[in-house]
Amino acid sequence: MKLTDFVVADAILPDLSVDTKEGSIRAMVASLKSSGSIPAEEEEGIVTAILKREELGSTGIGNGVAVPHTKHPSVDRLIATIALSKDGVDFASLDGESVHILFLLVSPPDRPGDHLRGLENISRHLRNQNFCSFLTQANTSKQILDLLNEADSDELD
Amino acid sequence: MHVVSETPVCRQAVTVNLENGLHLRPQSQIARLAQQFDCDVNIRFDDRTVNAKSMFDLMTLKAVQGATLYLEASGANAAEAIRQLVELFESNFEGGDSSSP
Repeated sequence: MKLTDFVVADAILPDLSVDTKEGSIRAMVASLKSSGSIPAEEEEGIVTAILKREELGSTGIGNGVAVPHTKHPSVDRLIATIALSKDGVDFASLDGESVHILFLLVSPPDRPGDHLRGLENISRHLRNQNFCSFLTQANTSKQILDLLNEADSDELD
Repeated sequence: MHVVSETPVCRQAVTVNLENGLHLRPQSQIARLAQQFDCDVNIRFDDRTVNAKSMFDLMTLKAVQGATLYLEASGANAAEAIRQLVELFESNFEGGDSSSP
């Protein structure tokens, strides 16, 4: 599995202008809707499910990264989008720091393995200092997409 | 007397009994618990060993339901760290495995 297999290129948000958890989740799900990856009528249900998941424990996993996610029957494969925040989002993260890199994932209910593989893929690249630093310096969707392609080809080591 | 090692090492095998596999929420429960101990705590699975205190490490495990993991701790309070981690697995993460991954 590669990042570009499940990250929807047209839904990437290089400059998130909101600073709250709910605002960032709403913006990312709206972007998935605009890209045609989720049906418009499911947008609110997906936002609600992701916020409900956050109530069980923040997906702010530390080091300025959050991975909000949910299962949802409206998708037939794992999809994700990326958002960057220069100023940081208050995500009630495990380490108390604000979040600058967000990966939002929606996966089909019957494919827990795909969800784990998606998280593994994201964390494997985020452990690479080059990937993290280039990602936080990116200003456009194109730069982020180029970086994902380089990461997928192991060109960042 | 020949002393092999002065650092106590504790090991214990556990099974992932979660429908969604070892996903983000149980991973964060493991990290939070392991971080309370000064000793090194590692998890071995599929020929790989990761730091149980690091979410970014734990997220690379991809351990699905039925997977056998080996918990290993060395240093101060290693036995207690393993005991509490085994308890977390046996409680099935305090019943935290609902339909939300």
